[in-house]
Amino acid sequence: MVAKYILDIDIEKCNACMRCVFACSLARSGVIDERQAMIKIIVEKGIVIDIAVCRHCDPAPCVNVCEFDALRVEDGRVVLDQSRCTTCKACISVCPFGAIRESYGGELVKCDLCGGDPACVRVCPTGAIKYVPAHMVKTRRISSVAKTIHEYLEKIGGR
Amino acid sequence: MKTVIIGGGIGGIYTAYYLTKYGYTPNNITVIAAEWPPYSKHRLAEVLSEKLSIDYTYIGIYNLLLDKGINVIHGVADKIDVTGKKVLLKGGSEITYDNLVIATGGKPFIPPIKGVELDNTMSFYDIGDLRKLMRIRGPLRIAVIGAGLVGLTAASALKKMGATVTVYELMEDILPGVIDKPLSSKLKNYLSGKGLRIHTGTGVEEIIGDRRVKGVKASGRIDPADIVVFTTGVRPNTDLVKDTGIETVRGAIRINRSGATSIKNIYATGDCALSHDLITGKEVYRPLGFVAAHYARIIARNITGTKKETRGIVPTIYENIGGAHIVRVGLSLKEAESLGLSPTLRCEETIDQISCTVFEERRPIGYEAVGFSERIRNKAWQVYYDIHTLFS
Ligand SMILES: Cc1cc2nc3c(=O)[nH]c(=O)nc-3n(C[C@H](O)[C@H](O)[C@H](O)COP(=O)(O)OP(=O)(O)OC[C@H]3O[C@@H](n4cnc5c(N)ncnc54)[C@H](O)[C@@H]3O)c2cc1C
Repeated sequence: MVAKYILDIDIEKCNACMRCVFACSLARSGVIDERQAMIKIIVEKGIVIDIAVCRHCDPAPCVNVCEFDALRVEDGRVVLDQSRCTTCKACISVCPFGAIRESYGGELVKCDLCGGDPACVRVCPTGAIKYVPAHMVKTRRISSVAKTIHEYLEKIGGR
Repeated sequence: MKTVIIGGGIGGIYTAYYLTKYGYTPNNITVIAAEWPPYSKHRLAEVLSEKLSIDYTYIGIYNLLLDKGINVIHGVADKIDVTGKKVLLKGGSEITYDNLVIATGGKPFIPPIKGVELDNTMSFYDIGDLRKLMRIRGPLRIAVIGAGLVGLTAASALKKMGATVTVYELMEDILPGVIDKPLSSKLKNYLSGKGLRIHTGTGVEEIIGDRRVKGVKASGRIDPADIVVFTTGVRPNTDLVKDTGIETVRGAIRINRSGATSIKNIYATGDCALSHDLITGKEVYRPLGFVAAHYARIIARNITGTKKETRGIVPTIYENIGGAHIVRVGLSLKEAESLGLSPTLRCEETIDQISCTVFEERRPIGYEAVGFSERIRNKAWQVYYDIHTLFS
């Protein structure tokens, strides 16, 4: 089995240069448009308070909750199949990271790790977003939420 | 074995989808659909406010289902003959079935007040309503009656289009069926601050006008209005099952935990039917898309030979209204009370979010949050799993 890689986020290192957001939008839709990006930098009073992007939980609350078969875990990635999604938004309600967002016409967007070569990581100049083996994220610094969700899901074993 | 599905909305289309997924021969599935292609009502407000094409509302899997070879009759089912096991269509043709799935959805409820028949009164419910509102030009005054999820999303979409919008709500609080008072009062302040006029505790008594709407009379006062949009709830659309012997409760089709009605080989899902609440085990009427899809899957399982019963639904609702994030998982205090529980509410507040957990005998049964920043982070996921662990 291929080692599972996910994004490792360190908001302390982020200076909100927006390169990741623009690169993500370009990779996804060919244009630079924040609303088409699957990653969002949230700044409040000049301070980066969050980088909202999918952590590819496994098991994942969004996958458990989707009644439309639109979300699934594939090679360690949580992927959204647009053709099956009706925008009921149940997944947004249970995402611990605020990582699923509405784009134009209510279309939902979330990170798919660019199929294994994330554009955001390629352009991030500060190392705030890295693409690393999942087990390294767990043992190293990890957002407290990510840690609890993992422990939590292990405990109860998803749905 | 032939399965006929009446209704090409969420319940109908996802029943067809899950049937094919579980190995049912596509060619043995027929969908009778009054509206085609299938679309998602969940996108009406966004498509309206962003002035996008109606194509954005279509549900992508219909092409896949057509490619697989399911049959679609673009028409209206007029009568169900349960002894002859056939459906009669408007226009005279008929089709026989081995299994029948009723997914006829709901119909908007319009309160019985004077003036509702005037031109320029409408609902916000289907693609026809969307088309009407898309044609609106100029700075209009629009009255939205009912401050539920549909009313408030419609109101903020119409405001974004440039209309002056006033919302009227009979209950003391906005989103009365969705969130509880501490949250709804904060949300009301926020939306009012953004320029949405909201009158709570205000029953609309009459729509004023001659032929066309001129105003709305509420609490003895008359506010001018050019268009009135009713978002006063949904009722089951079940005229078709009258005189069939299929059991209904206040108009909604009663189904068991396999999605089956009181008549063998006839199933129902979606806004035309009741569903089960996971926490209390009770029958409830929850006209929500994910409820329709949940029972669609259960029904498809049972038709394809795997006996499957649902444990019920834990509501999982998110909506963005005018930039505020609304989240609700499990039961609200009010819904829990209406289901016979004696819940308590514990709330937390930060600068950009208010959230409350609903408890019953110290066990979490619900969570609700309203956030006012761009961040959507809360503990809903935790309560969602707690509920599944505690009650399943
Ligand atoms: C504006 C709006 C926003 C919403 N947003 C959300 C949301 O964000 N999340 C969520 O979970 N839910 C949402 N809902 C609720 C959701 O849309 C419904 O619960 C869902 O559509 C129900 O699916 P259904 O298949 O039962 O009914 P419908 O989707 O209404 O489909 C029923 C279909 O059957 C057809 N039909 C009826 N009678 C016949 C007949 N005799 N013969 C042939 N065809 C017939 C109808 O024309 C219709 O196309 C929203 C609803 C509205 C109105």
